[in-house]
Amino acid sequence: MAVPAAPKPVERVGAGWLRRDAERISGSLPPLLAEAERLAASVAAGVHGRKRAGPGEAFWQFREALPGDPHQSVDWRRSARSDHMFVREMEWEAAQTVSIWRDDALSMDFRSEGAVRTKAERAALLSLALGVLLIRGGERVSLLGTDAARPASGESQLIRMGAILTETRASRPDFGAPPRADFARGGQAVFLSDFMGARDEIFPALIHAAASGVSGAYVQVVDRAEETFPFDGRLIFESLGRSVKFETDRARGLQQAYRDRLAERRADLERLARRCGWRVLVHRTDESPRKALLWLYALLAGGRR
Amino acid sequence: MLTLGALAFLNPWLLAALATLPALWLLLKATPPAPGRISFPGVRLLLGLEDPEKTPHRTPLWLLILRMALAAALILAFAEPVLNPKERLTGSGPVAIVMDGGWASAPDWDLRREAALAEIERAERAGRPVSLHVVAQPVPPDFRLAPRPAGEWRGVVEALTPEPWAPLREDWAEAFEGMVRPSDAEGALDVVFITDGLAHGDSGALARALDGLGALRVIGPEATASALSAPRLEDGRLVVSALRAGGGPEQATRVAVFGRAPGEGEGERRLATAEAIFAQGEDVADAEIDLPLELRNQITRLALIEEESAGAVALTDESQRRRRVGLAAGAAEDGGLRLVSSLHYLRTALERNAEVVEGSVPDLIAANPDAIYLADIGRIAGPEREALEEFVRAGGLLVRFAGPRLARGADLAAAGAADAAEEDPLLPVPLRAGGRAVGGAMAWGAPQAIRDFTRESPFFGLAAPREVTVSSQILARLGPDLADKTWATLEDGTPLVTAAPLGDGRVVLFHVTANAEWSSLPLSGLFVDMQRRLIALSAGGGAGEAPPPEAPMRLVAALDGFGRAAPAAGDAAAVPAARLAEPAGPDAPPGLYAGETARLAYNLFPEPAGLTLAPRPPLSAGVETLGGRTERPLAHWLLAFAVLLFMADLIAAMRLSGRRLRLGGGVAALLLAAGLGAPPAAEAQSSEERAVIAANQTVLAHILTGDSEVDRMAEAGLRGLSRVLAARTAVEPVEPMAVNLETDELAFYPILYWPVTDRQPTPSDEASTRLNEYMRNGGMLLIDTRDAHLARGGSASGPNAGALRRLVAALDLPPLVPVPADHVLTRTFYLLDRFPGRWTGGEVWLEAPRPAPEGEEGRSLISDPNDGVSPVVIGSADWAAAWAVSEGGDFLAPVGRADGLRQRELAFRFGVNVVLYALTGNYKSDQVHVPALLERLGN
Repeated sequence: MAVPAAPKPVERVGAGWLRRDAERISGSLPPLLAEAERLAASVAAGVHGRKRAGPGEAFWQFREALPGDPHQSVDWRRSARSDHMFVREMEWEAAQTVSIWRDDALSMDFRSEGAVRTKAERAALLSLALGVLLIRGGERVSLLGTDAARPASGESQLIRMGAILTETRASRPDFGAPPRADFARGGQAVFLSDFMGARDEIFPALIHAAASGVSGAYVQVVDRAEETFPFDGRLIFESLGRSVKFETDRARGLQQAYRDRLAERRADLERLARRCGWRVLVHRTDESPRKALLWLYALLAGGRR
Repeated sequence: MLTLGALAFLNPWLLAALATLPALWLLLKATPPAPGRISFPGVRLLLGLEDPEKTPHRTPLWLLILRMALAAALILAFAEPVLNPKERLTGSGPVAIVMDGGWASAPDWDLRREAALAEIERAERAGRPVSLHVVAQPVPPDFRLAPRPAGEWRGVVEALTPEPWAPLREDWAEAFEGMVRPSDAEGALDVVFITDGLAHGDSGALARALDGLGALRVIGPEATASALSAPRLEDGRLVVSALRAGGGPEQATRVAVFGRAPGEGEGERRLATAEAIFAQGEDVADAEIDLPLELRNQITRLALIEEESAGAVALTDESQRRRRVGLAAGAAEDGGLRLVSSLHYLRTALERNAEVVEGSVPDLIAANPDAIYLADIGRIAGPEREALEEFVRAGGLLVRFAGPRLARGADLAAAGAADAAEEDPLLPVPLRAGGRAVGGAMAWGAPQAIRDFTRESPFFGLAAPREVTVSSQILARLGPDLADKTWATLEDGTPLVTAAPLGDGRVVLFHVTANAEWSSLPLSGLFVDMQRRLIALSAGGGAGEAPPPEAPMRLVAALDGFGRAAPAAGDAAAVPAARLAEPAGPDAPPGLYAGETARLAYNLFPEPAGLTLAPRPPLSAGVETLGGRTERPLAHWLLAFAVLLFMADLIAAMRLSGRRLRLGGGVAALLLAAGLGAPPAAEAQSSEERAVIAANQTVLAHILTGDSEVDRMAEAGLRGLSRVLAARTAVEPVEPMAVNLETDELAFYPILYWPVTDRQPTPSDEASTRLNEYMRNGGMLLIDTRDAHLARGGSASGPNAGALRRLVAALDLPPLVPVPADHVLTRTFYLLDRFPGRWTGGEVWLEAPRPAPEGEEGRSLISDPNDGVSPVVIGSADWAAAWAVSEGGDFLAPVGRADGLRQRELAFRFGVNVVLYALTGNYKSDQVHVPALLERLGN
């Protein structure tokens, strides 16, 4: 959220000031987070289908309680069978690191007529929902190219991610490319973008990521109009940042050529992914986000086990 | 101003801009519409693609045409085109409006008034003063143009009515020429002459005089007025002539004949309609009024049905009606002995119906009477006989009464010419010698009463009272033709009155004396009635003598410009009779004049001479036609068209640039709705389906007027009434139907509601015939003029009364009376004493109830045919509006002052009563006899 240049003095006049201030403080984070959590919950139930009280529940051993152990960790049922106090210890699980890159370039702001969300919004939702799932699962998550680039787990990371995903960067490029970050070796990565940028910007970055030893998935988030190309007449096409222009006399005549180009781009992505052991998902904004999330989670979970 | 036929441009120089259109064409062609801009992330993928087909960057032809049309429409609109242009005011000074305002202006008076108002408005807009002059009104002394601000004339024009005489063009021409000219400082005059297009004995002098004043425009009617000449007798037939001007094609016109209504009232009723057909190019068309003598003598007025003007009305007077009768008694040689008593009864009986002249036979013949009564004159001497015979042969009526002298004369005749080979032509039948006395002290028989008159007798219909007896009579010699010649007989079959034609005239003999000596006949009312009939018979005997030229004649009933007669103001000065031989004018308006001896109808057209068209106005004058083609600016239509084109262009441009517009359908619907209006409700039912429904069920129907609002209200009203009927009575009508008089069958509907609007077209002859048929066969028309709230004083005077008269002109309506208090209509279902609708007040009229046949007690208020149902009920309360409910059951029109519940309820009750009246006839009036019938059945 853009900070106004000269913040207005807080007015405490009228009935609505408290609520207004509360909203100003909380920002738009909770809605996105709540939505992401809702989405994540539905997916978790869908994938695993088992009751889980929480992460790291697998039983490891009982040990005698030592001074300094908190009361809460005492297993009273076990302790009642003998004269000693026992502490229940869980299995220690090594967390995975999942790096998520969400493209926030201007091109992601596209929304065709009839579409509900922009591609950027859908990408943010998917990112955060995936983050929720992973962090609840005890994994460490990082959001590449942002302040939350350092992998971390826990609610705080989630909240940080949410804040980043909802705010808008000041200067954004027309088309995005994955950052050449230091990937945690052996970790996994998810790139959410439309991959519509220049070929020689995107592919080297992808190769760099693969070279860093991470595997994962490219999620191409596209709008319906980008697939069908429903245009006709004499038109000038512009990128959203107005950096690229293309004029045609009869747009309909270009439809097939455009589709071919799009298919070619996807084929390139697929080819690259296959070479690096990545996977590609094409997600259209008019599809249900759950489908993509399920696919992603299954992929990541499969990679973990 | 540039004029092209009926089209003119006020700013013609702007049309020069049309020359730029080709340039615009090229320009538009060269600059195609700008391409649409679309933000699209996939643009990078497009880079390097080639358009598969290279279309040149050109505007599509249809778009080009659209835009050219748009430009042309704009240019034309700003050039201010005007359809049927009127001349502009050219001068800068006052505007003089001169209206003919005579009788010939009356038929289209409203148009004339509108034309005058339009001129005033135009002058007002131009800020120019106006003076208005009505040519039919006398020239005021010290005449000069007295221009006043235009607005002040509006009220004057609104209140103007046409005068019933011809415009005084000569006087005004002189006045205009002789008046003081307005100074040049006031600017040039504009003169507008609203003329009736007829020459009224002038030679265009007025138009020339007006042309000399300033820029003259002459506004004439499309068709000049037609007129009706005074009725005249030709060979015993009553003939009127319709007059028109300018020849023209064959044309039929109808003349309505009005007469005194029978009975006490002063009312008029229509007696007949005659048709006059103008032959091609002829200006005079004769129509014969073919009526029985009795009716013919009741005629008071004849009028052209299609025209309302003083010229289209002809009044009748005594010359067609009242007779002059000569009375003579005794013989000339009996000079000293005046048998006053023998003439007394005759004089008394005749005085009321005829002008009575007394004197010797030569004197009487010199007075040119219609009938001569001779009371007991036995022998008529040579010259007198010849004169009398000539008089009768010329069409006169000779009525003779018997008496001792006649009996003696018969004796002489019988003695002289033994077998009377040559009969006396002045006696209808040969007489037997001597009188006959019946009754009396010395006779066997009793005095004889009179037999009822036979159908052949002119006295048929008169009641012969039993107490009238004849004790003496003179007898006719029996002959084969005696019965044919007998008009009245006694009980024993002997003739009382005999008659025989002689030449064109007739000789009538009463076989009794004119006094009470031989019979009591002269003492009875029958005697008076018989004389009245006889006088009526004397028609054809020449008109009454004109009063002496200097005799003062007083106007008793004056015609106004529209031909409506009204009692004259009492202070009208009498005019000498000689004045009435000249054309009518302000000093002697047409109408009915009464003098010492006779009444005289003073008509505009005593002679059947065709009208003449006015000479053409001077060449310099502009000529316009009254009404119809009103000036119509077209600029706003063109602008609206341009806006539409612009919107179309907008849509097209958007489409071209690829922007999808979802409002396409909406716009089309909007345009349709705005442009075409709601299409008239389609006739869903075919006429056959309608017929089946209407024949099987009770259906209320209303007559389509063409005014959609009125029709909708009528339908809603009948719907409301149908629902009320279904809820409250055994009548359960289905949804009401609309009936087109011209095309639909009427027989299915028991009642037709007919709202009257002034714009309603007059039913064609065929439709009128079918309506007459409908009414004759038991249908009922409920006619509603819907103007009770606008009526001034009394009924049938609302603004729609004229329309009503026009609509029903060709209908065969019975005599009408306001609903009597005890009429069956007031109690068919509810007991009602008034009949409000949306408005209160205003009479409801229906057929005058006929008197009950003798023998039935009381007045039974029924009218005979159609089971006592009046074929027409006429009111003005706008019942439909009071009844009207929407489909959902909401009332549509406010009624009354407060909530109007009571008034609406009463309106519904009236509706229920009317429908039940139409359906049940006199059933309800018969109901009063139920107790008596039951009693009789019980016995």
